[in-house]
Amino acid sequence: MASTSQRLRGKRACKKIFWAVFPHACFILSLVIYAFLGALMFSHIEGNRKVNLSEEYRDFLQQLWNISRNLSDNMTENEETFKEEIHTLLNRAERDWFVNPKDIWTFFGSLFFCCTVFTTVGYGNTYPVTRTGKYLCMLYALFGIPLMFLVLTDMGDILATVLSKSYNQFRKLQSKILASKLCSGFTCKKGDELKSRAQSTIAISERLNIMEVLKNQPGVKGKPIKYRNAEIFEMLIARENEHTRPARNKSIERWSSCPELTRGKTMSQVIENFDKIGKQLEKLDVPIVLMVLVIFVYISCAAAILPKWETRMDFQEAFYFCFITLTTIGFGDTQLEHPKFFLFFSLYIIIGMEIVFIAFKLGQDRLIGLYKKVISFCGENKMPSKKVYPK
Amino acid sequence: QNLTEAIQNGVYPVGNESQIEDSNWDFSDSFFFAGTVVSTIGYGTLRPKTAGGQIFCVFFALFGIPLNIVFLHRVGKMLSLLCKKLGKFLYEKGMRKKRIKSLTLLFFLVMGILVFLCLPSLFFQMTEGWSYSEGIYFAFITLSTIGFGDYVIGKQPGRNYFSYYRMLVAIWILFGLAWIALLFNL
Repeated sequence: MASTSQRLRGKRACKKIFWAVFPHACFILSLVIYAFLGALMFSHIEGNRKVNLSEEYRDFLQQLWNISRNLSDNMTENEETFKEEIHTLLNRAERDWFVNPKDIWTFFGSLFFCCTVFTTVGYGNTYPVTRTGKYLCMLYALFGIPLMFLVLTDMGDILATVLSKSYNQFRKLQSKILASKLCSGFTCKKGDELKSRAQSTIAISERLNIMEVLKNQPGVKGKPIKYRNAEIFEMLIARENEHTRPARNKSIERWSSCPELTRGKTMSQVIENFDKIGKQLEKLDVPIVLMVLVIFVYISCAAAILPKWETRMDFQEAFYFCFITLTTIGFGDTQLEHPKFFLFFSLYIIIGMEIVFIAFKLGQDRLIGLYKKVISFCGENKMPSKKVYPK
Repeated sequence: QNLTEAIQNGVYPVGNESQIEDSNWDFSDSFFFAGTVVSTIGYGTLRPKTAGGQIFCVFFALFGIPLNIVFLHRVGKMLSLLCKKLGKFLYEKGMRKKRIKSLTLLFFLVMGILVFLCLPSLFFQMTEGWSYSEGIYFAFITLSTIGFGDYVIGKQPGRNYFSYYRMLVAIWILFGLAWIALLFNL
């Protein structure tokens, strides 16, 4: 009897893990499928573009021919005029005269292009030229960018939990070391004070977060308002319970005796997890200097590896390129010799965009805090007569 | 013919950089560049080539992008206030709350598409000489901050732009981005 119950418990734990991981894997998989589909589409549409020499191109070639024919044998005299004429002529040249669409729009090329679209990096070394290609690109971006955003927020939660947990551990360690070093009654109280202060800040930030979370929920559209209200109520109650009664194991044990209830419970938990997307990101309270440091270290790692096969880039250029890519600015000035290798980097890019995203979120919060301080400071200065002295 | 072929093959790698920019980064060009960095659009037609410029660009983006996001939030809140006012007006007229919500959302969407996508495309048709669909494509690619750089304002050779053209376009980009940010949060 005991072994079967153990086996059941093991199975249940496996199932639990599976259902916990499933939503995250689902998002990422859907993004990958979306990218591949897009690549197929674009390589078909743009790759099969008929190349016909346009009038302007013929004109351009004719002028080039004329220029080279008019060169006399004297070298020094030619250089100046040649330079100027070539300069003006090349300014009129358009990129798509010189490129063969079949070379650029291979499957991997289109995959690269699709990635630049839905990550909104948008390098610009490949772009759709045909009319259908352009419309398709717009449609693709319309659905791809929110999907990417969803994946980012989802994985951002994981990253934020890891970061805040490790940071909290580090702080605890720090306070322990501090307390043990100066071992006296006075400083022991200080240690407790630190802990209670830390706990109180966590409590305050948690209470604010429900509203923020509900406001910033991506992807949970189309939910009827009634269900939402009930959910808010439930979450509030759950929060209160967490604070007051830490030992809830007994109730969970009772539920697990009834299999139908557990199945329903896991499904509702899974659905609940969908709503918790973005929650951990809101809670993050790590100093921004640390985040900036993490970013720099992260980019430096890639910048050190990248020049191994991109022989034209040195460390500083690779750093610049990685930074511009991860913040999704994406100038497109640096040409990659081997774009395929860069695709293998896609996990790195997603995590990198995460980190940058989190850092920018933190920067936002700090900026708003700074702004509030400045405003309140100005307000106090302007109205000194506001103090009312009680009689 | 051989000469043209040879030159073509020589021009081919140069062709990627054939937009030979004159090295005058005057104020309006630099302002435009700073805008493309901070909004993460990043057309790429104008970009720093010196090492110092690139390093400065990195730090500039590091501080500028969060600032831009905060700014867009505020502007977006202003826009949503308008929507709330409309909702209140309709509520006073006696409509049900559910219908009001979907109606204001629809109104917001449609008005936004009209004002930020359709109207500017007409405008660009006049000033840049693009076709209407090209204008819409440019508007979409810019506002989604993809920013390929195949179409950029103010770069058509031989066209005279009136002096506040770039500033006007920048204002459009600003409000358009705020609208899109608001759409994501709805």
